[in-house]
Amino acid sequence: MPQFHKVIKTDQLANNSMKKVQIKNYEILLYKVSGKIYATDNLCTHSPCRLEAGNFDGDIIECPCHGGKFDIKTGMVKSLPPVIPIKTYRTRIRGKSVEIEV
Amino acid sequence: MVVWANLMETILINHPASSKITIRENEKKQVVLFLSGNMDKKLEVNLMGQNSWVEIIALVIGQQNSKISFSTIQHHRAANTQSNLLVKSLLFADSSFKYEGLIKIDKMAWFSDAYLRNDNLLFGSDCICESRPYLEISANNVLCTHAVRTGKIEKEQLYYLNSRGISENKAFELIAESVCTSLLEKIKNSVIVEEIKKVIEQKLHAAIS
Amino acid sequence: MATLSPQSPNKYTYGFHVKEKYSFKSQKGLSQKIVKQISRHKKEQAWITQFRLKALKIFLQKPLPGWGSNLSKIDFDNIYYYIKPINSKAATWKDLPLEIKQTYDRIGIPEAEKKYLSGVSAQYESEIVYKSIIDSLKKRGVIFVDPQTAFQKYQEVFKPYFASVIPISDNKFSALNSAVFSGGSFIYIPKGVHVDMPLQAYFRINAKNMGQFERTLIIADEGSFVHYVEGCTAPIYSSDSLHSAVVEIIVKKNARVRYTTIQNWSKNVYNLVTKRALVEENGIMEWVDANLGSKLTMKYPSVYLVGKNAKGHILSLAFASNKQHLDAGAKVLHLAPNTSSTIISKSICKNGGRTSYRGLLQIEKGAVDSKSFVRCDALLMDEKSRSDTYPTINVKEQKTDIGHEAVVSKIGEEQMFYLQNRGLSQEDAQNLIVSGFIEPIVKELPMEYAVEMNRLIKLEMNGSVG
Repeated sequence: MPQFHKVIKTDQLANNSMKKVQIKNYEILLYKVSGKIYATDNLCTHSPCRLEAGNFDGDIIECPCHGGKFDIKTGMVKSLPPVIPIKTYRTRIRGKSVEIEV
Repeated sequence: MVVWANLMETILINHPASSKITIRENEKKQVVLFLSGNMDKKLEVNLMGQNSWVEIIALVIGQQNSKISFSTIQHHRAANTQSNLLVKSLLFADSSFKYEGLIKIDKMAWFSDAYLRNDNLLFGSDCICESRPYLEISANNVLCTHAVRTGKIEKEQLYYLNSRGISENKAFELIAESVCTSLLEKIKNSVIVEEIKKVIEQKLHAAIS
Repeated sequence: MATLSPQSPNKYTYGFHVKEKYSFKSQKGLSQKIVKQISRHKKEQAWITQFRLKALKIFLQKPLPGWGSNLSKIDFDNIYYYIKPINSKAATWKDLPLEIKQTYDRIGIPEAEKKYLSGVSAQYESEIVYKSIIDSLKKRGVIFVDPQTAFQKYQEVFKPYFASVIPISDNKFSALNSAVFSGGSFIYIPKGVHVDMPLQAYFRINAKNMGQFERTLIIADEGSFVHYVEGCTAPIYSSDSLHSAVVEIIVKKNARVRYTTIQNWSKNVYNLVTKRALVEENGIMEWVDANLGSKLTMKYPSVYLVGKNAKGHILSLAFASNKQHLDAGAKVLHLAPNTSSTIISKSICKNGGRTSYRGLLQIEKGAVDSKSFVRCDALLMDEKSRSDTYPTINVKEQKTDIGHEAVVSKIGEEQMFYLQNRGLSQEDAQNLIVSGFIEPIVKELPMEYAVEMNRLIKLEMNGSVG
């Protein structure tokens, strides 16, 4: 049964930046774009590579290992070599906290 | 366990550790393996002596949560050697099977023949099967082939059985049993056959139900 | 290979013109300075310069691959990445290595082409004919230009797809190419257009498009068809020891693309290529890849079948002799239902050559009812040679049908006996058997290439070449 979990405070994530959080054994990457917050898995679907070390530009996260790109809002692949979309998570703000549904 | 029969030795490998088998001049050996559950098995067969011969027969049954990793090496190091490998897997539920089979023929292993065949039947909708049949050939007077087939049961086969009142589960059982039987028929040692037959039946039953 | 043409800089319809600044012709090695110079020379926009610099950084960071052949002997600092010294091509006919001259004669290359191929003449006489072909294509909306022109005049067409199939960081050599690419073909075929005549860079060979670091991008819009041919059966003398090309292809819905390559670089060249095609619904991609030359080739044409009913076919031929190592193969990924693929690889090695087939066949979950068949055969002619096969078959979808077969053998004694019994010499019998062996691939080549290919293989077999 998916539940919302508090992860960080809203002021801990600056605009146009990303931050890795951990919920149980899920590694999740949070992004803030134009004031909105999005969340995806931290592991690339192409090879065991952590996206947190990659480039984040606009809506796209680029994997540092082989250049694969994902849309952070939909999880869709924007550039090969990954072929499987990345998992996205619902987020919400409750008070001063950011919550992710897992 | 080693049993002598008709100048050909049949060896059943039923321990999970890595195995290395040497075949010397003029020897003929048959190596039988059965893999299931969670296993990471390596088998290396070295044909060291001229005119040696080996047949490797392996049956793999993957049940729910099974993760099986199997790698074999058929290494021809002398002239006039023959090796023949057959690995058949029956994969159910979400089992995963990774197989790597290397045939290596050295320069001096003239007039050698090597075969590798890997057939994988996917019964379960979430199984994962990876095959890597590798060849490294440095001798030119040889014949070396390998073949891999991976897929589901043919629709026609299932339809045929269903239309005779046989349920899908029972049909799976029948097909799987026939694959096992055809493999067992190749084993030249009846004692070994009996020993693994029981285990196979047990595992198959558990996998299908 | 030199990419400048000092004789008639203004006669070409595309390409850059380098007349001045020979001062950096002798600079070897790779640095930010050189990359910026390349960009400045081509009058590129800032985003391309940034792209190149980012790629340089990634190239320097990435390690060499730990598989395949031994690349540690490549001396990256001892290579010209852009403008070469003027004497890198054979300046006169007599400077050309003897075996290359002899090969031209024996495989029947026309006189005019011989001179052009050897670099003796920088211009091909039938340029006017070529220009009219380009004009007729333009009328149908087909774009066929070099990368520099593509970015200057057709950016909105190509930029969205550029580096989307093979991003900079894909591997060390795609990063290198992304930093220093120069030359290649950028092609766009509009919806529904069928280009019946095979598109070639410039008849059979164009020095500009046979550069060290070509970058090719082909976009076939819905329902279109194009056959692109690159390379040459005749051996191309190149003083450059490293060639690293990138080819990206997008096959849109219902479109079809065939890409034929005949590679015969001289035997001092390291040829490392990344080629990949993305195929949408009902699309078809065909790679026909023949590898004859180079000291080492590592090349694995790939097809990503992302739309349902998409098809991929890869035909690969490799002939290695005399310490060459041709490490070639194919990759197909089935990512949608009802997709199908075939891979046929034929390799021959003799006289100490080594051929390796390296392949990947992947069926992702959800690619139901997909089918694939792979056949890789190798002919080992003698005990000095070596043949390897390293296929990986990865299946994550139950509802699928995969078959893979490989046969490594020498020429059958019975076959030889049969043919010699009918009056053929041993040499002719061998040639006939080898021709039959490679026939499935040669028959897919455009006719003039097929003729030359057959002659060239015969020469290789008889040890008359190299």
